[in-house]
Amino acid sequence: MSVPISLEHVTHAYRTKAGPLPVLDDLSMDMPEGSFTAVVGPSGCGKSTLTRLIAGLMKPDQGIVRLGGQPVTGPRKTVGMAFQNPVLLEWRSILENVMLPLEIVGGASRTQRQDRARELLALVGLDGFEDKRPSELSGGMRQRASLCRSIVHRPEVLILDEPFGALDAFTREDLWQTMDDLRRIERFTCVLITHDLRESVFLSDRTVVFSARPARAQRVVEIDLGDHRTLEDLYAPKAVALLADLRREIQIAQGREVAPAAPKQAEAS
Amino acid sequence: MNALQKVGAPVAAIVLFLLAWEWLVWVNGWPNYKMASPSDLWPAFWRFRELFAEYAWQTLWRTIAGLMLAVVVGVALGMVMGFSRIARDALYPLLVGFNAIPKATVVPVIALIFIGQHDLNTILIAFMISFFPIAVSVSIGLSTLEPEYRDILRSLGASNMTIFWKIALPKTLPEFFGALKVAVTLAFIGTNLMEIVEPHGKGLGHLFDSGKINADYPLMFAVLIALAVLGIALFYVVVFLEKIFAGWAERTPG
Repeated sequence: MSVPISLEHVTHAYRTKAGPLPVLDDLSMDMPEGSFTAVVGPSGCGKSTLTRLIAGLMKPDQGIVRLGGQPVTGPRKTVGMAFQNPVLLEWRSILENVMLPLEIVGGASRTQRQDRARELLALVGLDGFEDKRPSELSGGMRQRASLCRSIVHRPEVLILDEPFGALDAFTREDLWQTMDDLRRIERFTCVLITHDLRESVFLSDRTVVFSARPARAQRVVEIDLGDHRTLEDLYAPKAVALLADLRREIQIAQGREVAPAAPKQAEAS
Repeated sequence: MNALQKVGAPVAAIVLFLLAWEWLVWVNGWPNYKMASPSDLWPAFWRFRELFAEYAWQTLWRTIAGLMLAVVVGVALGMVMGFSRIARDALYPLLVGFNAIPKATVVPVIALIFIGQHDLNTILIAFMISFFPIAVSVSIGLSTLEPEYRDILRSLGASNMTIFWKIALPKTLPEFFGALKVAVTLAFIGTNLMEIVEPHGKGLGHLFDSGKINADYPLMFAVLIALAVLGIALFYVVVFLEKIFAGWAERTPG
């Protein structure tokens, strides 16, 4: 089995009025099947660009992105995405929202789609809310529904772009637990973009620290805390040491921003 | 209580308005050739009730035809401008300029181009005056669609057409209906412009014109009231359609 997600020397720049703005610089990474990789780094360092490249929504200037060994040339049905904004469709019920990707991917009857969507909603604790409108749900519940939608079509690759970023601290921790449960039941290789180091330690198998723009993989930290982590585990010495390590690494990454080269970069953006 | 309030409040407002009007005419002692009072309107309407029915129908169907044309063209223009930046930049000045031209000045031009085809002329003016808000609202609705909405479908390889039908179109419906409410009243104005400026013996505008020639103020005001009633009726048809197709956008207050 080939590696589900691999990046080979990926370099990308945005064209702006002030000239090219490099965001990714010779980035190479392999994400093994079923792995959970968190990506952390300073704001605006190109983390979201990475998700768009993996999803096939953009093509890199140089280098190759491969999914399951095949070079990514465009969007494909084996990818699921969730964002900070749950982007649920207000005119559909929660159940119909979760069914949406199945309508695009096709190949299942309406009853099968409904059953699949109901099954996932039950898994994340939204049974009984299937017929509600998104506006009738709390922020955390909407994000749960959004997660269900991102995996309803059984994607091989799940891309999460700060899906818990806008939630309050306790709701966020609840959703970490939900995400961890989903991961055990559904099989996918996950990339999580986040600003929350505790989140990356709780959820990921390894955390990649991006440098400031243009982003390189500055450091890869293996999070060897085992399966079925609990919130208490985050206060154990091993997790605390990992957190401190990541924190230090982020500071190094941010340190580049205040270095003499910084004013030029600020102008370019 | 709630239902009573819903019907009672507008009825009370209308009754108060008519009373104030009647009082104003009575207190000033205005004769009928200067200003009609509400109590004169019903006799004027009843005397010409058959003409009212016939002309109202002509005005109504031509307004609706013009409005439907405005919906088709307005939505098409809005789609083009909503999806293409170049088209938006290219078409906006043209559209704004066209919209700024007083339609009364276009009436004789249209009447001359399609001479004798009164139905077509009237429909065209109703269309011209009402398509602009529809085109603008649809283009704004489409161009302000958050990229994430597009991405959730695009990342699955959905075509632009699928994205339009599943997301862009339904998401734009509340704006569309808002514009349609404006367009309804505008279309009535357009129909009557043609009927009054280039009378052809058709429509309520023609009846108004006859009233003017005879200095029959009660008749003229009765026509205006009839137009208002038609306008309100068509407006609430749109409200009804909005409830069906875009009811989800309405949040219960509280």
